Amino acid sequence: MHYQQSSLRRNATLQPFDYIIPQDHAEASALLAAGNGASRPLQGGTDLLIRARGGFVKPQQVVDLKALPGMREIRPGHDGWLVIGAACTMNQVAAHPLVQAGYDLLVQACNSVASYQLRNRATVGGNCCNASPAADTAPALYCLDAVAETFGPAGARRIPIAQFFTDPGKTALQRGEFLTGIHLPPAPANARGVFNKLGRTKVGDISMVSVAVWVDCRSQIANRKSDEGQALHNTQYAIRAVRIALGAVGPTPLRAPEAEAALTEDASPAGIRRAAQLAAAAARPIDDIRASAAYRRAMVEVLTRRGIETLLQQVGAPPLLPDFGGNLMPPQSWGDGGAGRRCMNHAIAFTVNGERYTRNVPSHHTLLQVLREQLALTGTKNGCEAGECGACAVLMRWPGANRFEPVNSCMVLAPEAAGAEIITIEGLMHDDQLDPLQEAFLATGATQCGFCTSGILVNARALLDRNPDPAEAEIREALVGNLCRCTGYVRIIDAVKLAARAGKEAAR
Amino acid sequence: MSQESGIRRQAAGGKRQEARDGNPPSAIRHLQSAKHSLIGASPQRIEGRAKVTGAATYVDDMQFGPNLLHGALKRSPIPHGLIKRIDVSQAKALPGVRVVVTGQDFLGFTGLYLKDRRIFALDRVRYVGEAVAAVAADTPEIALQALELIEVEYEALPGVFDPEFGASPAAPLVHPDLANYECAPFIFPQPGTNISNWFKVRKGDMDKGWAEADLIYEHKYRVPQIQHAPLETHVCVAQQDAAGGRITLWSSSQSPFAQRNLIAKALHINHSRLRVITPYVGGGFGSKAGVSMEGAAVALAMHARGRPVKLRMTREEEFYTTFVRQGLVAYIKMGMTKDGRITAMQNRFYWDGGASTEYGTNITRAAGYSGTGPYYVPNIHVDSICVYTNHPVGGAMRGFGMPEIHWGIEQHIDQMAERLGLDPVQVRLINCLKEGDETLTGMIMHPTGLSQCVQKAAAAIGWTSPPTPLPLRGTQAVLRGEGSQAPPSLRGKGARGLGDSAGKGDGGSGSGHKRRGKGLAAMWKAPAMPPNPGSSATVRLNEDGTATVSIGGVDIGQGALTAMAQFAAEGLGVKIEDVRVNTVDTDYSPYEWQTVASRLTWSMGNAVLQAAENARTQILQTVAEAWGEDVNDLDIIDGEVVSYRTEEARPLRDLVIYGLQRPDGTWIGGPIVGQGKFMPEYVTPLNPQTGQGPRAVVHFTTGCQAVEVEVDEETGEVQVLKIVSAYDVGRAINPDMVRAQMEGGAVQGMSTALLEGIILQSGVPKNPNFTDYRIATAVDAPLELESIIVEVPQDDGPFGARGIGEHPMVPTAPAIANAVYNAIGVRIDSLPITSEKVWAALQA
Repeated sequence: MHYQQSSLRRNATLQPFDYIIPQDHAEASALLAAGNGASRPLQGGTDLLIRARGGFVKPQQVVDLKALPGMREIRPGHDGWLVIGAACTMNQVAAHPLVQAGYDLLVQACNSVASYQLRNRATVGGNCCNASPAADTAPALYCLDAVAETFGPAGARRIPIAQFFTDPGKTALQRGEFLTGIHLPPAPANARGVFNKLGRTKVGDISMVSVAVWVDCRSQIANRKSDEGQALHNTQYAIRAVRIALGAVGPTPLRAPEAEAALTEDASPAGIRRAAQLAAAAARPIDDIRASAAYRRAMVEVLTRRGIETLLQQVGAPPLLPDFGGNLMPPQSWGDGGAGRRCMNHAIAFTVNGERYTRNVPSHHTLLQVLREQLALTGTKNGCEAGECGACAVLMRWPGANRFEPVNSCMVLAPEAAGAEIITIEGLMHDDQLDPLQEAFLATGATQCGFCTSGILVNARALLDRNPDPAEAEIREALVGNLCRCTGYVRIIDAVKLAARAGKEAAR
Repeated sequence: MSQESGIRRQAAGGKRQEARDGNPPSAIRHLQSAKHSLIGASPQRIEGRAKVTGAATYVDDMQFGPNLLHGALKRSPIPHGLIKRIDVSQAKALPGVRVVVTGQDFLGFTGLYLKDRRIFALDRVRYVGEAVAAVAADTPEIALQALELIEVEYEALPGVFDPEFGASPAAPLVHPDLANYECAPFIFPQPGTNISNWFKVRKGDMDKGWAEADLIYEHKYRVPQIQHAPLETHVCVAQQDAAGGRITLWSSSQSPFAQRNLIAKALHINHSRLRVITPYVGGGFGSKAGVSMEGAAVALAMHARGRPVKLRMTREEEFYTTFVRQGLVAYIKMGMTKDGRITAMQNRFYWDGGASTEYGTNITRAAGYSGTGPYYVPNIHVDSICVYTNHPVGGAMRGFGMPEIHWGIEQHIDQMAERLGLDPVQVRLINCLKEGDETLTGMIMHPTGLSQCVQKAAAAIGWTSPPTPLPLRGTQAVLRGEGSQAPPSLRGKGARGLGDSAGKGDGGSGSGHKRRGKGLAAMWKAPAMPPNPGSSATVRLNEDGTATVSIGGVDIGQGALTAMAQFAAEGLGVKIEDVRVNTVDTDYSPYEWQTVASRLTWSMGNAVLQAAENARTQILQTVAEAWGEDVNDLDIIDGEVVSYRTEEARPLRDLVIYGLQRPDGTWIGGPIVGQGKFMPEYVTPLNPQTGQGPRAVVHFTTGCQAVEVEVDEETGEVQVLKIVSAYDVGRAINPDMVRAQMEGGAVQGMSTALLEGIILQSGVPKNPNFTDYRIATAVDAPLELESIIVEVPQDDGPFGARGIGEHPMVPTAPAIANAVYNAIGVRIDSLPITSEKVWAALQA
C-alpha cells in the first residue's frame, strides 16, 4: 500500500525575515516585485503569520504596507463614492460613521469575523487579498459592487471586486502589485443588506456558508407600509434592485444573478422561495472538513431565504441613523519604521505598563515573544500562536489613537510595536490595588487553571472601557476570542457583570 | 461546640487579652463558629490572586537564561511504516545545533500499564507525528532548521484506521511484539492480534435474561478521538547537572511522581537521581497524566552537557502527538420488560486506542467494569476490547472511558423506554443502582444518591412525562423473537412531533423552524487506578504559627490547593489564611500517585487531614505535658492552643518551633511536622474470565444531567439553553468549587457533544488547530447552568467526600442527544452532533 507523504503542518516559530516599511507606493511595489514569492505584503498579518508559521509561505522579507498614504484611511471619494484604505482594520471599518451610514451590510460582515481583538488587526483589504472563498467581507463587497484599487509596476488600476477574486487563494494581483483600497459606489437611500453566515460555533467561526443579500427599494413603499402596517412581503412593493452573494460555496465568492432576477420580479413568499432555490443552484460547493457540498448548498437556500425575509421586514422601518457616537475607531498611525529598515533587527521604543523601553527586536519575533522573553512579563500567555485562543491578549495604543484596544500579541510583529503603548496583565493593578475586574474574578471564582485568565481580564477591561454597562450578550460576544477550557465561561461572564456594577457604583 | 465550652473559651480569651496587646482574641470573634467551620464553607481559591495578576508561574514562564537550549522533535509523516534509515549528519553539522538523538540512543520501553512505547521510534513508526529524532539548538529557529535536515527513509506499511477492523484477523499488526511487552497483572493483551486488553464480564444467565425481556433492542454508537485542549500546551525543561549526576525536570504535569517513576525506569537510573518540579499547570483534563513528550526532553538533556533543554508543544503538536481521548465503537444490546426492568445487557466496546495503549488499556478496563452504566442488571455480557490503530495515542481524559460508554448506554435507555411507551426518567429510577445492589462485577453498591440526582435533575429541568403514553407503534416487530432492529416507523420522522408537544407543554417557543426538547442522562464513575495508589502529606508549622502543607498532587485548576488548605486548617485548628500549600517538587514533596481519577479530595485529602491531625496531636501532647493537663482538655482554635480546664491560651507561634518551657526551666517539644498517608487496602482482583470479584473499585460517584435544547430544523443547529447537573459528591468540602466543576464539566461536555472530533483521513489529522477543531466559546455556553449538590457520605472519604472532577462531563453528550431527539425526533448516534448531521438526519 502506498501512502502519500502527508505534509506535517507545524504551526511553529517564525523563521527570520526582513521587515521593511516602504517609503512610498513605488518602493513597496518594487520590493514586492523583487522578492517575488519570498516578499510578502503585510497588512493586519492575521493570515500571513499563520501561513508563515505553518510553512505554507516562507517569507524572506515582509513589506509593511500600513504606513503608505491612504492605507489606513476611510474617506469620501468623488461622486459619492467611499474609499476604504486597504489596511483599515475590520473594527475601524465597522465603526466608521460613513460606513455605518450607507453600508451596514459591510459592518455586519466585518463584525462576523473571528473575535473583537482579532478584528483590531485583521483588515478588509487583507481579507480580500487572502482570497479565501470563505472571506466574510467578500459577499458584502460583491453585493455593494465594490471596486478594488491596486498599485503595481504599471501604476494604479481599478478592478471590479468580482474580478479581483480569481481562485481559492488567488487574486488578480500581478507581480509587484498590491491592494491599496476598496471603493464603494454611492449607497442608494433605501438600500439595505443582511449578512448571514453559518459556522460550527455560534460566532466567529470560519463560514461553512455565508450569504449576503442587498436590496434597494423605492422610498414611498417603505412609507406606505409603515403607515398601513401591512404585511411586509407584499409583491406590490416591488424592489428596484437585488443583489445576492454567496461565500464558501465556490472557488471564489459568487453572485447569484438568477436568484436576484427572480426576486426582483416576484417578492411574494413563493418568489422568495424560488429565489432561494436559484441561489442554491448557483452555488458550486465542495466537500471539506468543515461541511459537505450537499449541506452547503442546502444552507445557501436557507440563509438566502432568511436574509431576504429579514430585509423585507426591515424596508418598512425608517432608515438607519448613522451612529456618530463615542465608538469611533480613529485611524491609527504606525511606527516610525524608517529607523529599522532593511535589517533583521530593529531598535524600537515602546511603553509597557507605563515604563518606557528601547529594545533591539528581531523582525520575525512577535510582540508576545518580546513581552515574555525580553521583558520577562510572563503573565501574557502563549496558547496557540494563531490568534484563536486569546491567552496572549494585551491592550495597545498606537500613536494618535485615542484609546487602548485589545489585540492578540501573537499576531503583532515586534517591529510593528514601535511607538506603541502597551498594557499587559501586570499593568492592570493600580497602586497595588486590584482592578475591579480582578476582584470580581476572585469573588465569583472565575479563574481555575488561570492560563486564559490574563487575556480574558485585559480583553474584558477593554470592553468595560468602551462600554461600561454591557448586556450579557455583548459580554459573551466580546469574549468569543478568549477560549477557556475549565470554567464553562459562566463565572467569567458573572465577573464582568459584577465589575460593571462595581464600576457604575463607583461612578455614582 | 457546646454553649458551655463557648463561654469558657470566651473567658479564656478574656484572660489572655490582658496578657497581650489588646487585640481582640480570635476565639471570641469565632465564638459562634461550629466545628468543621471550614468544611462546607467556600473560601476563595488560595492561589487566586497570583492567577488574576499574572504572577502565577507556569513552566514556560520560568527563566533559564541564555544557556537554555530549545528542543524540537522530528516526526513521522506517515501513519505506519518501517524506518529504513535515519541520517542526522547534516543536522548535527548545522551551527547552533547542540544535540541530536534518535531511537538508537534510547532503547528501552515505557508505559504506565503496558510497556509498549519508546521515547523515540526505533524501527517502526505507528502514527502520524510519532517522534523519530530530536534536536536541541541555541534557538527555536535553528532547531526547526535542523529538523528539516534530518533524513528519514520509510517503507510504508498498510495501516489500521478502524478499531473493529483492527480487532479482526484481517488487520495488519501494529505491534507484532505484543507478546513480549511487560504489563500490569490486570491487563490482558492478546498476542498475535491488535488487541492489547480484553476485559470481560460474564454474569447471570443471558438466555434467561433475553427470555424475560419484552423488548430486545441493539444499536451501534460511535465516538471519535477528541483532544483535551488545555489552554497551556505540554511543556517541560530538563537539565542534567554538569557533573552528569542528577537530572531535574520542570514539567507541566498531572503526574510528577509517575513521570519520575516511568522516566527513571525507561532510562535505567535511580529514582533519587531524577527530580520533577511542577509549578502551576494551565489545565490538564487527563492529557498531562502519565508521560508523553517529557522523556524526549530528558533524553536531550542527558546529552546537553549541563544546559537546560526546553521542549514545548505547539498547539498543532498538542492536538495529535501528546494524548487524545480514545475513540469508541459500541454495540449496546438490552432486554427490558414492559414495566421497564432491565433483564439483560450485552455490550461490546471496540476502543480506538491509537498507536500505543500504555495508558488506554486501563481505560478499557474501567469501561468494562462500569459497562452497564449505573444500573442493576442481573444478566450481563460485556466485552471491552482495546485495539491498536495507526491513530494518535489514546490516553486518560476527564471521565476515563465513561463519557464514551455512556454516550451509547444513556441513549439506549431512552430508546428502550420510547419503544415500550415508558417515561425515561421512571425507567432510570427503576433500574439505577441503590445501596446493597450488586454491580456488574459483583461488588455491593455503597450508599449512593443516584436516585435523588435523577429526580432533582428532572425536576429542575421541568421534566414532564410524555402527555399521553406513546402508542406502541410497531413494537410487535421489536418484541422478543422478532429480531433486534427497530422498525422504520420508529426511526427519524416516524417519531417526530415529540418536541412539538414538549415545547407547547412547557410554553417553550417551538416557533417557526425552531423546536425545543429536553433530555436527561445518568452516570457513574469510579476512580480508575491500580488497587493501591497512595497519597501522603506533611504539615509543617512555621515560626509565626502558620502551616506549610506539602503534597504530591497538582492543582490543575480544579482547586486542590484550596481544598487541601481547608483540610489542613480544619484538622490543625488554624485559619485558612495561615495555611500555605506547596506545589510539587519530588525532592521535597511527599509521594502522590497521580492527579487523576478525581481522587485528590478523597485520597490526598485523607492524607492531609491525617497529617494536620497528627501535627495537632503533637502540639497538644507537648502542651499537655508542659502545662500538666489532660490532652482532652486542650484544643487549637484559630491558631491558639486553649485549655478548657484552666482557660489558659497560647498562640501556636509561641511553641511550634521552640517548644515550651516546663515550670522547672527545661524545654519540651520542638519543630512540629505532622505526617499522613492514605492508601485503599480493600480492592480485590477480578476473575479474568468473568470480571467478578468482591470489590472492583473504591467507590462510585454518581449523578445525572438534564438539558433543554433548541434545534433549528432548517440548519440543524443545536442551541443548548440549559444544563442541570446533580451529583452525589459525598460531602462538598468547598461547595462553590464543586459547582464550578459541574459548570465547567457541563460546558466541556457540551463542547464535545456538539463540536469536537479529530478528523483523521488515513491516519492524517486534518484539523489539528483551534481554527478547525472548534471548542465552545463564551457565546456557545448555555444560557443557564444549574448545579445541584447531593450528599450521601462516603465511608472512607474525609468528612465523607468523594471526587467530582471528571463526572460533570460524563452524561452531557447523551443528555443532549436525548434532548435533540425529544425536540425533532431524530437520533444522532455518532459524536459530535454537528449541525450538518442533524440536518442530514432530518432529510432522511
